[in-house]
Amino acid sequence: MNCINTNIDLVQVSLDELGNMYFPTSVSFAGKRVNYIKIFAPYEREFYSPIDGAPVVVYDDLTNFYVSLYNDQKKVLVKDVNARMLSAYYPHQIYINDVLDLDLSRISYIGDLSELVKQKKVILVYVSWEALPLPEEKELPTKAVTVTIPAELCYNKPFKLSQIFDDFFAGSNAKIEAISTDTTYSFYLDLRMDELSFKWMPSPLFREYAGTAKITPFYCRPSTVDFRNSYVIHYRKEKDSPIRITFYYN
Amino acid sequence: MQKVSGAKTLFFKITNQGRNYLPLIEDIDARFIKYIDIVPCTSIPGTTDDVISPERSMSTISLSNKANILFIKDVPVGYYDPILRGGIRQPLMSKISLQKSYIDVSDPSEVGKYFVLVFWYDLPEYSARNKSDHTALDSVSMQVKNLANPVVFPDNRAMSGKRFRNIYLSVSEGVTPTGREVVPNATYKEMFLSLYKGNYAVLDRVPLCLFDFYKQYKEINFANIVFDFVYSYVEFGGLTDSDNIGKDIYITLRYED
Repeated sequence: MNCINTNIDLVQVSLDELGNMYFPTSVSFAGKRVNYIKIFAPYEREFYSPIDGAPVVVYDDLTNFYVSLYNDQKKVLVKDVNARMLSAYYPHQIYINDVLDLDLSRISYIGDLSELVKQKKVILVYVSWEALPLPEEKELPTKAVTVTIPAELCYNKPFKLSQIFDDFFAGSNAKIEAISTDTTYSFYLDLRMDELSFKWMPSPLFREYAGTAKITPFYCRPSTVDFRNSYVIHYRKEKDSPIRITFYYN
Repeated sequence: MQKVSGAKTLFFKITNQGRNYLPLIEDIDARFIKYIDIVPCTSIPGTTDDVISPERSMSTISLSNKANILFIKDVPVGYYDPILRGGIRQPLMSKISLQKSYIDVSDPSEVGKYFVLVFWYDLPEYSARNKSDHTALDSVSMQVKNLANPVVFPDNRAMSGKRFRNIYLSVSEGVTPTGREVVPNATYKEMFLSLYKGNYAVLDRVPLCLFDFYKQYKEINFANIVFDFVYSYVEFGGLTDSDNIGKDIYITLRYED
C-alpha cells in the first residue's frame, strides 16, 4: 500500500436479490476522505465474517460484481469496475482520495444473485480513510519481530495475541510502523493500537506477495500495540502451517 | 516504467535463419524509443501464420542506435517479453536505426513465423503533464459482432475529451454490466488495440494482453493521452476462435478529472 494507514474499517454488506448493494450510512468514514477500498473475497472456498460468522462472498463468486463509487459532489470516482480489480488480491492500488457519497456508491451484481442470497452471504469491504501520504524515500524500520501462532489455536475462535506474545514490548516505547505476513492462507488480524483503528484486517491486506506480484509493505502510523486486546482468527478447516505475523518497529 | 504516450506495433516475419533485419518504419525510426516489447501473441491480424513465443525461442535481438552502435547486442528475445517479466521493462531511451537492427534466428522452425514487437515512445502532441491529482475510472463494453471487422469503441459522452492515464482489462470471465459474457483472457493475446486521434494512431495495434495487470508488478502509465472513441477499435488475429462472437470486450480506463 502506497500510504501510511491510519484507519481501516470493515463494512459488511448484505446481498440484495435486486442486485444493487449500498454501504450502510452509519459508518465511521462518512464525510471523511477515503483513500482506498478493498474487497476481501478469499480464495478459500468457505470463509466467514469475523463480525457475526456470516459466510462471505469468496473470490470465485466475485466475477459478476461491479463497483461504482461517487464523491459527495456526485462526481464519478469509479464506474462499473469489476470487483476483482478492487479485491485484496489485485496487486495494484486503486486510490480514491475523496469523500464518498454513500447514497449513490454501490456494488452491483449482473445476473441471478438468488443462490448467494439463499446462502446468506455477505461482502466484506475494507475502507481506508485519512491515511497519510507515503514519502518516496520511506524504508522499513530497522527492527522486526515475528509472532508465530499454531493454526489450531485460532481456528474458528479469536486467539488473543498476548497469550504467546506478552512481554516482548513490555516497558518499551517501541512503536510498530509496518506489518507483514508470509502465511499463504487467509486469516483476520484485529489489532488494538493507540489512536488507530484496524478491525479484523484480512491477511491479504498485509501479505507481501499478492499472487506473484510483490506489493509495498503495509505501513501504519507509528503506534504501540496492545497485544492483550489484539486477536487472530481463521476459518480454514485443513491442518495447516502456523500463522506468522511480522511487526516492524523502531 | 516511465510514462509513455504512443506505441506502434511491428508484425515482423522471419524470412531466414540467421540475421533478419528490421524494416524501415518512418514513424518508429524518427522517435526516441523508451521501451520495446516482444509480445507472446498467439495470432495476428491479416494472417493465419504462427507467432513465435519469446519465452520458448533461442533467438536474440540486437538494436543499433543512430551512431551505428549496437547498444543492445545478442540479447535473448525473452528478455523483452513483458508478460514473462511481470511488466518489468529495460529502458532503451534511444533513437533506433531499424535497418541496422536485427533478430538473429537459430531455429529453422521459426522461419515463416512472426515476432510481435511493440515500440513505446512519447508523443508530445497527443499527451500532457498532469493538471490534477484527481482521476476517475470508467469502463466501456463493446460487443464482438464478427471477427473480420474491427470492434469500434462506443460513443461515450462521459469520457469524451478526457485525458487518459491507464487502460485495464479487469474482467476475464463472467458477464459485463450489459449481461453478456466477456471475451476470456486467453483471447487477449489475439486482440489488438488502436487508439486514434483524428486519423493519427496514438496507439497502433498494441496487443491487448499487455493491459492485463493481475500478474504484473508494473502497470503501463500514460501521460494523459488523448484519443477519439469513434475512431478507435480492437481487432482480432486471423486464428481467433469464432466462440468469441457475441461476447463483450470490457475495457476500464483511468482519466484525469
